[in-house]
Amino acid sequence: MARKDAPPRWDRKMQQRLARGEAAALGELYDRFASLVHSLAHRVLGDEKAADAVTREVFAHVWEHPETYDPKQGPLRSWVAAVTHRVAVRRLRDREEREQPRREELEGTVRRASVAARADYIVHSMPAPLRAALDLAYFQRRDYRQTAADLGVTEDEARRRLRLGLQLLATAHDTGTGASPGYRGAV
Amino acid sequence: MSGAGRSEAPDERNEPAGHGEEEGRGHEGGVSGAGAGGAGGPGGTGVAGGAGGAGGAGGAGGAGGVGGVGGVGGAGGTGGTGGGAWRAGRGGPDPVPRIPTPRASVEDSGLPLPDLTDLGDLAPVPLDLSHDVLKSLLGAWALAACSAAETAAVEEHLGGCGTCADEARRLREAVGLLHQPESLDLDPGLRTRVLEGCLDRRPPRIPVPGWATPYDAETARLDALLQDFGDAERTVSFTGSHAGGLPVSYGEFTLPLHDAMLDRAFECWVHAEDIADAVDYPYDPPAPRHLNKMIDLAVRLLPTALAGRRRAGLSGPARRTPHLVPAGAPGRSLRLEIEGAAGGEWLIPLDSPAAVGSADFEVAHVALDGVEFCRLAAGHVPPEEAAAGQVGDRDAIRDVLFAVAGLSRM
Repeated sequence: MARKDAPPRWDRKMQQRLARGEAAALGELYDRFASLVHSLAHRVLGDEKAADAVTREVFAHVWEHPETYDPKQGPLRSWVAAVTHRVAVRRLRDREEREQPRREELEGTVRRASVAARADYIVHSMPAPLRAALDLAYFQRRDYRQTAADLGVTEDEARRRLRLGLQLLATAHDTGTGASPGYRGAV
Repeated sequence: MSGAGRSEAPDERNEPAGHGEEEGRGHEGGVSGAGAGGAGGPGGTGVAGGAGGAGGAGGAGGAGGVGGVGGVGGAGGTGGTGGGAWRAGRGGPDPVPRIPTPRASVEDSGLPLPDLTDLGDLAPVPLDLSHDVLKSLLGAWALAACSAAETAAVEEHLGGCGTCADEARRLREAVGLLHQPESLDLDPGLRTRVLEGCLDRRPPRIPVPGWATPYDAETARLDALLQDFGDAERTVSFTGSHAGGLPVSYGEFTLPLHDAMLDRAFECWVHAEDIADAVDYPYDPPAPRHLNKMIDLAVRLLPTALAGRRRAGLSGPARRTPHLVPAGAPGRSLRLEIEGAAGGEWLIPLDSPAAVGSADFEVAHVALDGVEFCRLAAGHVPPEEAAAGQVGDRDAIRDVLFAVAGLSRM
């Protein structure tokens, strides 16, 4: 949330360095995305060890197959999130098959994780001014007047940004189309 | 806490217990409610309204209950709704106070509002806002980022406007999707396991050189810390293969690149720890094998630092004449024992950088924790206060501890 957008150039460069087999690039990739990967996996699987295992598998996949990322399809971040979701859900289904679960429960978990992943995508791809306003009002607990003052905009504008930001975020609940172009294929 | 007006809570975020960020704002409303609620005293719910600081919901309950007792008490209740409780405004008697106040005209003028806490019992007059303004407030309302009076006005409006109520519910649910940035508190060992697993499956064509790994690890950690605070971008890549021996100038002296990288790693950690301390953020010392290399570098710099102190006349006046030996021969030495996982033992030649440390000529023994040693070397602990176990020549020990502390100024 607080992080700045990684420019697409960074995404392309990272892909090239990974393809070249540069170990330092792998380290940077981990530092940027490990917490995203781990938290998404944890949300699906609900336990630390399984999330660790997914994290290992996701980074191994990215390291072994960096060419499968297509920068034209969207940011590296959402691709990594998509890979994570796929790996985590597969692991969840395997586990639940062994444990004879209730099917709705499983689908509910998967659906909530999908919504959370879409929300992450939306937060990271929404226009920076909207994100900055949400950041102040939610994470910094500023009221909208303080938010306006912090951003150097009118109070009207601050209200508009908060409302629009939340409207965008709310589309994470809409399944199906539109919410996250880079993500659709994997959910 | 009658909850009379709270029949339409849209989701769990409106439970009276509330979430932390809501309670914070609820307090603001509660403060203004407290004065007025006290005036209205007699009603049982009025007391709840007066105590509304604990959460906006208490104030909301007060609105209905106390309104029946007296207008002023009713005002107190309204002031307490700041916590974002969705009060439909249908649950109790009319909360409008009998005494009109200048508050509404301030709103209409478009001037900035005075601080609510300064307004005392004048604050909680319901605002007469247009539909468009109320609609524009929905985002701020969902985030509990409105004033208490605006919150009350929005919630009253939601009771009668289906379109806004739908949007309000949707935006409230969206707030639930905002969450803290992912925690950085991953198991620190996971990084190594993940990276090693990757490199086993596909060996790197351009490995991170061994001498650069402490720097890589420290900058990664500093980076993660800064990212957590908002912004940082670091790009380090090592595409050359024989760069490790290149000299790096430090003005008065040079270090080979691999030592310079260690030095940077050390500084990285020290600065990151300063930052983390300032904001009370947990930050562990470097991995033991990296810390060990940093200590080793500091120890290797010590004989030169000791010589510098001698030349500057900083060595104690009671000090004996240096016991000079031919270059490369064993000389008077101090045994430095570093405790902990990063630890080890070093023999430091005391009288000349050209001499070799020797157990046969050991005149003193100092024992220090590894992290404490680094704090001393970073100039964060005065040498007199370093928690060091010491045996032997006191002057030699003092000289070495001061030289360690002086490394940060080299």
